[in-house]
Amino acid sequence: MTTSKTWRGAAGGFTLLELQVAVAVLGIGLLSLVGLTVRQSRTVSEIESWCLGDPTFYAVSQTDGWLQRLDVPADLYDSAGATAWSPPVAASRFNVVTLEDFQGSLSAQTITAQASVAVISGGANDPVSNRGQSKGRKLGHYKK
Amino acid sequence: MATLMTLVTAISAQFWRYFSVQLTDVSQRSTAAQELQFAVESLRADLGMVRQVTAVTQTRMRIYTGPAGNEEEIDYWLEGKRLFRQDVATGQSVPLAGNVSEFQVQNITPTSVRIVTAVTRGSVVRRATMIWSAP
Repeated sequence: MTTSKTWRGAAGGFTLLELQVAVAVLGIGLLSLVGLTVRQSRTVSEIESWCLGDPTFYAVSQTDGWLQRLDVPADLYDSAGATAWSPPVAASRFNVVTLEDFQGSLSAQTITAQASVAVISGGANDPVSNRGQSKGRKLGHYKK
Repeated sequence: MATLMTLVTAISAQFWRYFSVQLTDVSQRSTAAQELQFAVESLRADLGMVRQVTAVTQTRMRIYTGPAGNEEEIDYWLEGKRLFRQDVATGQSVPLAGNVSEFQVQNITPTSVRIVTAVTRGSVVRRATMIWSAP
């Protein structure tokens, strides 16, 4: 009993057409990788934009009692104009803090409060109020 | 056929050489920015209600913070390539950021401090300076 080998691939290798298809698939794959890398590079550029050029930040601690209780981080300014070198906070700046939400109990370890902070009026050195009235929400927690 | 395969392989190798450099660069930039942000944001949080900051040594600083009656002392220092934060009262310390190549603290005046933090990852260096003055 004899069998005839009719499958050409084992003896003949790849055809040119098969190779072309393989190269085309490889090319598409590489191009998509390039696209991904370019997009990733742009995203990283946006992420690191704050720290390019060795920036200097002027940290101003919170002086408002409510903001201190809410553990609000220090304000960071990129110029000394209205920060530590003139009065840290302009005398004519007022923060109106409204407590909007309060969660916690006597047995809980942490109390979470949500407050809206409105900055009204301000002096010439106040970078926040110079942009007009602004409102922001700050979420903080206060450990007992 | 063999020539064609060799050509394809050579092109792929060239592409990968360029691509791997780009990938490494993106990865290093991303890591450096992220680690620096960890350090700066932590410092910023502790400086929120601070009463006094002093440079203990050139690479170690102490922050006196907390409301009256509940004062806390926080230490920051560089050990190896990691920036540490320690609650002095409890002695509990946590590493905040890695790849930190520089943490310089300098008392400018008795009530103002300059803090320089730099992160180096490969050939990428990111540096930020914070200046704090007592309110």
